[in-house]
Amino acid sequence: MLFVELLVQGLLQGSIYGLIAVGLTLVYGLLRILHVAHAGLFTLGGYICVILTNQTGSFLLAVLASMLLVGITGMLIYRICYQPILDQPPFVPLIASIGLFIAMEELFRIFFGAYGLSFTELPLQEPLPFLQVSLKQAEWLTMLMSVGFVAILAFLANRTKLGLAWKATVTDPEIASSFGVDIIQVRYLNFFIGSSLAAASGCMMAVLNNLVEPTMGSVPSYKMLAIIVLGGLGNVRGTLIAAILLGIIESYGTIYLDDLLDRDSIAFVFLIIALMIRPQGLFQRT
Amino acid sequence: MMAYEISLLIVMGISITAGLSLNLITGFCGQISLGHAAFMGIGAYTSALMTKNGLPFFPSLAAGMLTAGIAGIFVGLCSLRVRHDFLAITTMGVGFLFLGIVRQQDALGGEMGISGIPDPGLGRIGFLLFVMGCAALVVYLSLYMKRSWLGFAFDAVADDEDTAGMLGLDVTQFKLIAFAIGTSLAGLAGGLYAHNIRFIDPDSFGFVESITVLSMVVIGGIGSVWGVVIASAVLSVLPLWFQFIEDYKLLVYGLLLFSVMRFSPGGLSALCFNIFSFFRKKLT
Amino acid sequence: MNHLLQVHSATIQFGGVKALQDVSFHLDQEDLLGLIGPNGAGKTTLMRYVTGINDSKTGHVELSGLKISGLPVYQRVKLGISMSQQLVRPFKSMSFLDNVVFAAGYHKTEKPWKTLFIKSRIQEKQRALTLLERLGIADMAMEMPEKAPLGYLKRLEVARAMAIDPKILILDEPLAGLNQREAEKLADTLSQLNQQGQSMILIEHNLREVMRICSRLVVLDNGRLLAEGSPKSVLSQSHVQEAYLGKELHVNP
Repeated sequence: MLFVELLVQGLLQGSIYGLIAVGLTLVYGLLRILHVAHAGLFTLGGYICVILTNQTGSFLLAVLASMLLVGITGMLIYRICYQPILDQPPFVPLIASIGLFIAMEELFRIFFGAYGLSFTELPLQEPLPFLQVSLKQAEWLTMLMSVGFVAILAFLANRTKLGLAWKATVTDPEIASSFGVDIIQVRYLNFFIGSSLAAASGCMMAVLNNLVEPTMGSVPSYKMLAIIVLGGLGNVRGTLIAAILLGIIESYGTIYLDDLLDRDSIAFVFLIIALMIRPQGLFQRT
Repeated sequence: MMAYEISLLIVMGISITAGLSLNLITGFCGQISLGHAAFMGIGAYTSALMTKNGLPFFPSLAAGMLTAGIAGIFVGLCSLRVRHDFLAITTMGVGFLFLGIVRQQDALGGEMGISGIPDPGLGRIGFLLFVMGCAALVVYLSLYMKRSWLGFAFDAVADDEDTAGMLGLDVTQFKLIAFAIGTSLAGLAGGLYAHNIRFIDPDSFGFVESITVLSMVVIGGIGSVWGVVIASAVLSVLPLWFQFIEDYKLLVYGLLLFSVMRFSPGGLSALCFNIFSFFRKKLT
Repeated sequence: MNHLLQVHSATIQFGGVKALQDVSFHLDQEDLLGLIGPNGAGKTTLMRYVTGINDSKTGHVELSGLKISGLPVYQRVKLGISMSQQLVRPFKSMSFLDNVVFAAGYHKTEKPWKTLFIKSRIQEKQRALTLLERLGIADMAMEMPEKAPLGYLKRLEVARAMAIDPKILILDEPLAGLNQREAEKLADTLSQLNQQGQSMILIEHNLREVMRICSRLVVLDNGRLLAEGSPKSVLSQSHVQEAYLGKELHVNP
């Protein structure tokens, strides 16, 4: 059953991409920053998860702590790094963000070594058969999380006061602020949620590979940009769909197109074709 | 002169050429590119394959410029469909596409790259002079262009392309010209690079290299010719100068990129300008 | 005999909203046509239709009998239609003077490849200075547009639109943001220009000046043509007064 296996692999990879890209698209939707250092937060999330699981023995606790800490780090990055240069042309925050990302990768290497860390006891390894597909708990959880978080986000955005304020701010900050929305608060919240999602993604990546290493963010750092563009910059649901689609296409592509192109360029051929046909991305901005 | 200094100067000259080639596209014409290294790669591969097959150096270099320029026009055509951030991501995609194709083609050396690229036969000093000559020509071209109506039109396109169109400017053509000139000069830089190191592989022209070239332009001060020259020269040899801090050199590099953007978003040229006007105020 | 500009049943939809519905009108040589109507009547949309910023498949535009619909904006501009925008959009990186110099060099940028070999800006500078003086903003020539007051930027837009020597000059609310004295002066300038042979379309809310200088009026309401003709005859029609003037202004025709 190579076909099904590839599909499942694609879904898994797509879910990891999805979690990290949804976080990024939140940031982009609000501030129009190509926040490359988001991938550094993804790595940070993975590291915190492995270290805390090894210390406390509880994976769940580690994931929650990782999301919280990385969320706060995200808010700090906004305050210290981006807020003062928001009115600059877009490549200024972009280069600043790339510099920050490089520095973060180096810090991980200097503090924790170049070869990375592993779990002393790898959690969530029980096989869990469902509908004739046998996957490990960790793999089920990864897919569930990506869909679950997007559903929660959609619910919050449509049903709560804060969510509505967020949506209004994304659509038009000036009008939102004239209705009494505290834009600064929304921005912090946005960075918090976006960064926690990156952390969640990093945690799952750590479990799936039983490894965190300083460079684990470098492939996501550019691929997530492609995904949020395909998803229609700032569109959460579109981003998740684009991520999963890309995961599946890559999964089949590496088998059937391998003579022609490598994994990364399959993603980007897809991206370029899609953008030439639909310059606004596959999905409209919401 | 010592061999080491000669090599250092050659590297500087090549990256000045590369930095200014992107400055034409991003600085002058306002079209951001995150895949500029691909065009250097196209120039490098074209010229290296030709000289390896026994063709003379100069025509091969010219052929590299030509192929890079043609590829650049294609990407320029993309820039007509997408703008700003979308363009940045599209050009990034073009960079990865180039890498992907090169990696899987045995004729292009695949992952192993191309080694044993012949020496241009100018001697080290001769090659240095040639590289410096190229860099000087590109500096001259940039300065000249800024004062010509082509530069004026680029300013308008970079500033507000819709308004430029409303004043009767054929924006499409100007963008294509910027891409054609900029990418063929990148091809020149790539050809020089290939015949300096005499070994190339896909990683020589990856995403990191594209970012490095872009940071030369942005740190120099987007559009400022001398700023970009200085930033290119310094950034190209910075990793070598940082040898003494061995383990921390990338950390310092990353923090440097970040700090310049955070504290002087206009790059070095804006920084110098601010310092200059600060002292002038003090004196008067 | 062809009209200088003829618009045939222009229709434009944005989403489900019909911004323009079957509007036809024409402009003759040396006319100064006032285009008026309440906010949201479709005046700007109609002019953007003429210049090609908003295009649609229904209806078409003819310039001196030549069909120009379907052509991109810049080509229509080259054929002689020039429009100053309601929302000012100066080139922020250029001084007032350079903004106009660039526009005045339109014949130099016609062949893009040749522009590399042209450097002189002397003629364009003189032309630009003349225009800035004529519009009363020469004192700002060397300033950057960033901090300039709106009234100056409005006139910069007009200067730029004039600099490309158009057959038809379309001005979208050039008087807005000017005080009464400045508005009167600019209206005089436009009127003079018109008497020297410049054909013009003027979108304007300042009815006093419109009545004073326009030779013909076209009234839009809700995306439809409501009336057209000489200013007096148009404004004396009761449905025009109802739709437009009744609730806003009382003018003495």
